Parts: sequence; C-alpha cells; structure tokens
Amino acid sequence: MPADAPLRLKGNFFADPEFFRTDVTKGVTRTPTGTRICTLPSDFLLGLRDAVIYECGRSYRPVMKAAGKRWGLQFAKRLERELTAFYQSPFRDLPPGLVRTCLAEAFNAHGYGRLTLEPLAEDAEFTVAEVRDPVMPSIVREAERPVDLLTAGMLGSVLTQLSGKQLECVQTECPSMGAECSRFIIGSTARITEIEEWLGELEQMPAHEAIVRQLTRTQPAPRPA
Amino acid sequence: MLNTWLTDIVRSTNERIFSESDLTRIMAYYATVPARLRLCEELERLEPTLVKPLHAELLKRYPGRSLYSRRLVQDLVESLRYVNRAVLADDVKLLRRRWVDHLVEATDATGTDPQEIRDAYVVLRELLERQLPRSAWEVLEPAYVDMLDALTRGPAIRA
Repeated sequence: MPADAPLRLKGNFFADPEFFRTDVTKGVTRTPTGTRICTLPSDFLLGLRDAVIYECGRSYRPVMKAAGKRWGLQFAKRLERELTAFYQSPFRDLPPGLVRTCLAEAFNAHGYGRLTLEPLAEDAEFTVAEVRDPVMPSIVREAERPVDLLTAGMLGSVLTQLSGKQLECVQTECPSMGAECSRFIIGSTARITEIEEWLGELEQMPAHEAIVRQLTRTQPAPRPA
Repeated sequence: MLNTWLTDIVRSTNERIFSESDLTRIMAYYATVPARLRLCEELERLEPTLVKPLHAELLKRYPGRSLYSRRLVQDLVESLRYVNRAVLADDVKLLRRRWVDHLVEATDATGTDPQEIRDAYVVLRELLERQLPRSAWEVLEPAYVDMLDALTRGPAIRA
C-alpha cells in the first residue's frame, strides 16, 4: 500500500441496494461479481463454537482463530479481485487510507459489524481495529476472555494479504466482558505472539490500555541467527 | 431502482390503502419523472465531454495542487452517475449511501483537504451550468448541494 499513491474516488462499492441479489427460484444469493453468499445464522455460529470447544477442549481458541485466518485469506482475495476491477487499478496500490475505508465498507455491508481501523497513537507500527455490534459477542453474552476469535484471525489475515507483511491480530476488548465494542490490535506476528503468550500467563484479562503499554514497552525478541 | 422513501411507504402501508399524504407524494413524484429522465439523459450525454475541460480548468485555477490527476477528475465526473440516480429516484439517501459518505470517509482517511474536492465540484458545476438549461439545474441542485455541504462539514462523526 504505497503512502503517496494518487487518490481515487469511486464511491462505496457495496452500498448498492441490490448488492446481494437472491434468485429465489434457485435459492442462490450472489454479489454483482458472481460470488455466492449465504447467511450463517446465530444458531449455526453458536453450534460451531460449541462443537469446536467440545472437540478441541482448551485448544479451541487457536483453532477458532485459525478458521478465521482461512476465512480472512479468502475474503481478502475476493475483496482485492472485486475492487481491482472496480477501480481498474490494483487495489493494494491505492492510498492506505482508502484501502482501510473500502475494507470497513466491505465489513459493514456483509453484516460483520461496523469496523474502523486507525494506526495506534502510541506506535504507528500497530493498527487498532474497532468493531461495533460484532457478531460473536452478540451470541456469547458473557465470558472471561474475548470471544471474537474468528474476527481476530480474519482481520490479521486480511491485513496480511493487503499489506504484504506477515501480521497477526489479538483481541483486547470484548462486549462479552462488558466492553462497548470489540477492539483488536494488529501488528507483526512476532510482537502479537509475544503479547498473546503474556496474556495467556495472566489470570485476568487486562484492559486495552494495559496491553498497549505492554506492547509499546517491550522490545521485539531478538531473532535467532 | 429502489427509492428508499417509496420502499418505506410501501412497507409501512403493508397492502392497505395509501394515506392521503403518501399518495400525494407518490403522484407528485411520478409527475416529475419525465423531466427527471430528460435531465438524466442530458447528463449522460454530457459526461464524456466534461473530463478534459474540467481537468484543464482545475490545473489553470489551482496549479499548485497535485491532487487533481486525470483519473481523479474522471472519477469526479463519473460520480455524476450517482447524482443522476438520486435525481431520477428523487432520493438523496441513495447519493449519500453510495457516494457522499464514502467521499467524506475517504478524504478523512487519506488526509485529503475536502475543500480541494469541493473546489473541483464547484468548477464542474460551472461547466454544467453553461450547458444545462436553468430548469434542469433546479432539479439537479438539491442533490448537488447536499454533496457540497458534506464536504464542508469536516470529518465524519463516528458513532
């Protein structure tokens, strides 16, 4: 995503009232580019989560996140294909702010919640993502740890695909724990993995600000020669 | 095309009889459809002739601004299609959802001065006013003014 790329303005690709068109005779819903879309109701998501917890036990968290990563990779590839055709120039060559805007619009249009992406004020190497009305916390009402693992995996994967850098995402706030919205930090795999390990050692989930302090205080671990 | 206001009326009426005020609004709209169609056809006809003079005029008036690339000017002229749809449906909401909200978000996120986009639209308006009859411009004006207003309100307020 080149910072000095010329600005393009083509409007919200997803805001067409007929973006998701259902052929009721076939029972098929498609986007204008022909991608098939299906509705996954809350019951399905809850069932999926329960089944993964039952089958995987304590390791369900990395499994759900890995599922989110696979989903995010496919989502990003589709987004890139559709918006490259829309702008008639490579999507990832657009200004970074415009890419973030389009990504948020895609996220909102698909009903995953209202996404905003901003560089972390304390360290622009990291990105903070906020999702209002997120899906998973709306069905898992109470938890001791953040429950938006699918979205965490998905966001890390989407930004990896669009930036060309290896990125990872960790959820720092969750409505299931009483927060207003889901909040995530996205950064290099090494730094976020360190933070996830640190979080795993703690008995209680710290506040977002405490995680940011830990993230900006610690230096990246030296890489083996 | 889905007029959001017409869809709302049909949904809230729910197969009962339209209220007097809703019926008046619907009939008033349909009476203006031929004029709206004519304006839309005219705008469509003008579109290919606008890019070159708009780009030249912007470079002449604002020689120091690197924002006005040929492709951005083309994008701005093509945005008239969204204005067109809103005018045809008599529905500014369509323009806001598809274009204006994106415009405000994108200029904010890329650190672009919205005034520079507004200036381009003002020049485009001058070009259009030279070629469209006054009556046509009156139909177009509400949507156009809504767009220009959004560019003077500053960055989007996030809920």
